[in-house]
Amino acid sequence: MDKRTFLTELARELSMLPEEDVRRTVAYYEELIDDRMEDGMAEAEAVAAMGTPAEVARQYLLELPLPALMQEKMKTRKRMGGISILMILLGFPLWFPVLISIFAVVFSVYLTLWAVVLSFFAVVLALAVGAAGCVLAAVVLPFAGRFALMLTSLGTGFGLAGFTILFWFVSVWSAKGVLWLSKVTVRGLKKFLIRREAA
Amino acid sequence: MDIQLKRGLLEVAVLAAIKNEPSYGYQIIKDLKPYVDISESTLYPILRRLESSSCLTVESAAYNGRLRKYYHITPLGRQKIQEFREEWGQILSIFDYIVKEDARG
Repeated sequence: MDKRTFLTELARELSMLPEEDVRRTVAYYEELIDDRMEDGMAEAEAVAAMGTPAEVARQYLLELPLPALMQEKMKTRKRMGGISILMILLGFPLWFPVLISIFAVVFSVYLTLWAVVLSFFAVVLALAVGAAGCVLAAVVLPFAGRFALMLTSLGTGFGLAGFTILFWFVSVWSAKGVLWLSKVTVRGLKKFLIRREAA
Repeated sequence: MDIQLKRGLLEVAVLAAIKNEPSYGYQIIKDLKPYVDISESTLYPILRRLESSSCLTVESAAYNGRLRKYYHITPLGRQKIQEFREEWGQILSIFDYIVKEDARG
């Protein structure tokens, strides 16, 4: 591929972005291709060293924060016909509630996941308090002469303490799981948005 | 290497490459080559990110009849290098300990 073709293709792959962004990115790659050629590389080689325009575009788009990426997808460089705009406006009562409900469902599912995590931590707290209570009772009971009950209390206390520790790990693990899920979803969403554009 | 870790490392490495005098894209890649293989497409988002976080500024200068972008470090960029050195100083002392104990067993 020659330099002109590469840069034109690259500009095309990035066409959803603001003009300034595209200009800077293309200028950067032109500069680096020129530098390589000056170092003695042939044009085709220098261009190949960048990767394909699609790969280069993808790597740049992936680094953009998700809101910026979604913003750019909404803006379209093609002038929208009056009919299209009219249809979108007319259909507003139709697609807007659907969109809102989709977002609401997704958001509430996400919140529910965190609520589950929170409830795990609440269980940890309850178990810890229970354990503390039992051990405390075991300390006090001998003074009331209740030795058998003291042993029961002590045993229960240690049992609860064990469960506290277990549930602590479960809570932390579940919290990490939800965080990981969020990250993966964001990445997946970005990749989806980028792929649709390149198609 | 962990992606986030590598990204953080490369950002500071790029800042280090422009710390003592402004540099340009290709030169930065060549400077870092003995230590880490960084491609043009990896470097570019890093430069953009450093610029938007005010760790460097960009200036175009004429060179051989074309325009070349030079990257200048900012005080914030210098600070970032400093913070990195402090954080990794701690990491390295833990690393030394681990190596020492591992060699003992």
